[in-house]
Amino acid sequence: MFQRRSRFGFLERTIADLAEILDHAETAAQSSGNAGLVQQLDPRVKVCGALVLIVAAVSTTHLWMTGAVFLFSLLLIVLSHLSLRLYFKRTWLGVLFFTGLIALPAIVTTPGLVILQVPLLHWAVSKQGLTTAFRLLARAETAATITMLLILTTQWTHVLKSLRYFYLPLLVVTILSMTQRYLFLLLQLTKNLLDARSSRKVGQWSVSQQRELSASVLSVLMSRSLFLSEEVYLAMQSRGFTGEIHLLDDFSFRWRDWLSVVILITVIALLFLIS
Amino acid sequence: MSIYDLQNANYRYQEVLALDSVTCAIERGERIAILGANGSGKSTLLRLLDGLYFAQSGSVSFEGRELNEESLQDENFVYEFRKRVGFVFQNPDVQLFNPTVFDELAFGPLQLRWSRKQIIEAVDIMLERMNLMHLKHRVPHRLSGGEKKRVALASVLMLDPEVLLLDEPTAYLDPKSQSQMIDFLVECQHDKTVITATHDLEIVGDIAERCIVFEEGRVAQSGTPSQILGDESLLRRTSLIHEHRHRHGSDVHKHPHLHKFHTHIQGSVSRIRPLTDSPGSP
Amino acid sequence: MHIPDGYLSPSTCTVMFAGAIPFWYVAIQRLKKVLNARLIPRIALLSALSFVIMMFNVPLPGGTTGHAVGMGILAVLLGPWASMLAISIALAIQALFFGDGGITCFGANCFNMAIAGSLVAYGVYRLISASASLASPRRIVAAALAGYIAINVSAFFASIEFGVQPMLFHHADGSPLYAPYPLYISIPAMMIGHLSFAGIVEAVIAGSLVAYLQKTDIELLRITAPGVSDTEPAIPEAIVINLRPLWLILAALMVLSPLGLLAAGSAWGEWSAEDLKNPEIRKQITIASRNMAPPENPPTGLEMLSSFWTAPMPDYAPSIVKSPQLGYLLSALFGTGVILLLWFLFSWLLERIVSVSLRTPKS
Repeated sequence: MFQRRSRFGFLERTIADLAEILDHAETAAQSSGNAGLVQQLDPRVKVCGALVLIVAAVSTTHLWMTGAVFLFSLLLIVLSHLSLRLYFKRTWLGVLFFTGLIALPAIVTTPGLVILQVPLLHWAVSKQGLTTAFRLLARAETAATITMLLILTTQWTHVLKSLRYFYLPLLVVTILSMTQRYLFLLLQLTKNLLDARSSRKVGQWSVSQQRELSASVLSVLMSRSLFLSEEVYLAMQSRGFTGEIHLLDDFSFRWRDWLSVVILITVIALLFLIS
Repeated sequence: MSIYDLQNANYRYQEVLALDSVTCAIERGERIAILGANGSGKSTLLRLLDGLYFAQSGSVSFEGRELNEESLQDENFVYEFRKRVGFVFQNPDVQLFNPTVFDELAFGPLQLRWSRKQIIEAVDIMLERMNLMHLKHRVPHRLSGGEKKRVALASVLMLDPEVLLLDEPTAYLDPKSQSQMIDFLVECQHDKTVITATHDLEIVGDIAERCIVFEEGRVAQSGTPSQILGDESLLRRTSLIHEHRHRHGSDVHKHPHLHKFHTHIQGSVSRIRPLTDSPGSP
Repeated sequence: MHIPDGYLSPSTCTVMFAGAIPFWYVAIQRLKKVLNARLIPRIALLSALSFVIMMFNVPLPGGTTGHAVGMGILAVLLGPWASMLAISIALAIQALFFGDGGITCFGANCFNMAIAGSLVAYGVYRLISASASLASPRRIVAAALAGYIAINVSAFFASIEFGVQPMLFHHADGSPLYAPYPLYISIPAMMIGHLSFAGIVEAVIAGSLVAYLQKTDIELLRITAPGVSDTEPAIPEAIVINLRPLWLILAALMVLSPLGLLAAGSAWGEWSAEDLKNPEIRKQITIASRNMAPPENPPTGLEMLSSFWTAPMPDYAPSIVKSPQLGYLLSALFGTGVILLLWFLFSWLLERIVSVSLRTPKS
């Protein structure tokens, strides 16, 4: 079993992960430019709304409320012309696998009313275990759905700028933006380095060879990061930066945004009243 | 008074003497090409001219005022200096550190405290002028090399500087973008002082009236483009051109050249376009 | 160990946010004071580096791979406060943009990895590297150990956050509302993976990157090694170490020690001969051991050896103290005190030996 894993060793897997990340960024950039319902809203409304919905879905003790939020998100997904198939592949399947794996043992470890016995192993599946696992899964899926909705309908830079309005310090927003900007540069560089090594790979590499490769790739990345940071500092100075940070955005609230705020408040209020 | 005056300027970076007793003066309105191979000190010179590095001995003065740590801490001086001198870096990824093209263009004016309305209007005008409007909200990561360079130039031009420092403006560009860049530079250089560092001899005639050739941190020669480009031994010595062997069919011949296209007729010397001719001549 | 949404109760999330905010606040204030606008791009770039490290599969023996966070190297390059910010920012991008790690438990994730991780990494690094020269191999070891310990401390905190959920939050029918595994499952489950895999990866990354810096850009190491020479080996007249972060952590751990009382039953494998005879405890052991009952009679070897040593404070409860929680705390204080005394004695002896051997005439 371990032998087979080496064939899809760290090199191939890291390259695959990188490709997926870069692809995700590209998809998000494109879909957030499309003319769907949620795309048109002010970023501040979207960020606030997403936060409120996630908190509602996660903190409730009633499963139906989580379900309601999920359905509401589905509605928004459809109205924003987002691909459900993409959602399934990227988000729902991943969360099912990950959370499912973590939640599965809970079915037998949670004490309570025994519903059935697993044959051969004699493990007791309890009703409480099933409810817990299902609850966990529902919450995880709903939260992930909302987060993805935000990212697929809002330009990332707008998300960051809108955080200013939620009292995130200017310094933090600036660093966040710069990190995100250079992240893709580093990711691309990493992919290039690994692609180059991968094409020169003949046969299997020993673990120590692989580790040497990771160490050297990370060393190059660190060098590049430090070098770039110095150069960027010079570039900032050259353009007049003296230490004071200023930010500019072109957000403006329109009737659509006011309407969304009203709808959101109504939905949340309803949910709380019913529960 | 010269706009820039260097007196025996020295700059050492780690173990290397990047600039060695450089003395020269640059007059207002001049268009200068700093020539030299990689590592000859061109970039370091530009950074001294932009007040990013400071001469460790000797001096670099801008309009009579020495550029050192002290003067660059004087708020009023810095405000004026940064407005009047613009630097386009060689690597556009270093220059484009803002989240979007819009933010990049707005950065300079923001630092100089223009009003929000002024900035938004000025940015739109520049985007139109440089044909970048469709990229207004694009992130730098998703720009092509040529687009990045245009954005970098646009962001520097936002403050309409009197002095333009360009570090290898044609680097990272494909041939078409290169010629577009040159065209643009030729166009927008009216009454600006432009100092370009490059090792691309083909563009020198278009963009400069005076060349200063650097070799290992020192000024090797100074003159007009025709003087410099005609001096083959100088160009070879400073690694701006090199001698090179190649085949045409069964013949092997060697000559110094710039990898220009040429034909070889059996037995005769090949027709190479002389370097001193202006581009476009047969 | 990025905790996703839904595993921690709202109150736990709020508490963790409340715990994280003071540290973030201090970090930002310090940054503003020290600022040095140069730090802005440096933190941004190193934050991006941390992100890449987090998604990098590092090969381990056996064909497996592991992930690190970068706490070791970032603490060495930036110091604890800037590193805290950098890692928090990388985590924010992961959570928000890539959905890796929850939004509601962002405070918890940051507390574990960014805050506790950075502080512990820095403390251990400074403690072990002491006043060794910048080029000394001791710094490589210090960085590696710092990374190893820091990531395990992070995992430990995460496992506690997980583990207290079923006890504190359950539905009327008894089912856990959030994370379903109690401490005695969550702690070993998380710690095994980090002690054996992730910890090693973090150590390897921190150590190798410091070694690389020593060859290429040694001055960068000076940031977290003030007043140290470049190449001359430092002769320890007095060992100057900044122990403050370490004390804080030690204090926190001591205060948290009564949590051990919450662990239901006795730790797996730590049974005494009496425990094996007690029917209640036998039932617990069976459940905890995948429904395998312990032997009817305790093994003779166990019985023989268990009477070999009678502890002065059996079960962490000095006989005079009645309250178990207070007993736990007192034991922690006493135990720590003994360790510290031994350490001081040892380092005093070491110093004397070193200074005697160095007392040679110098030119």
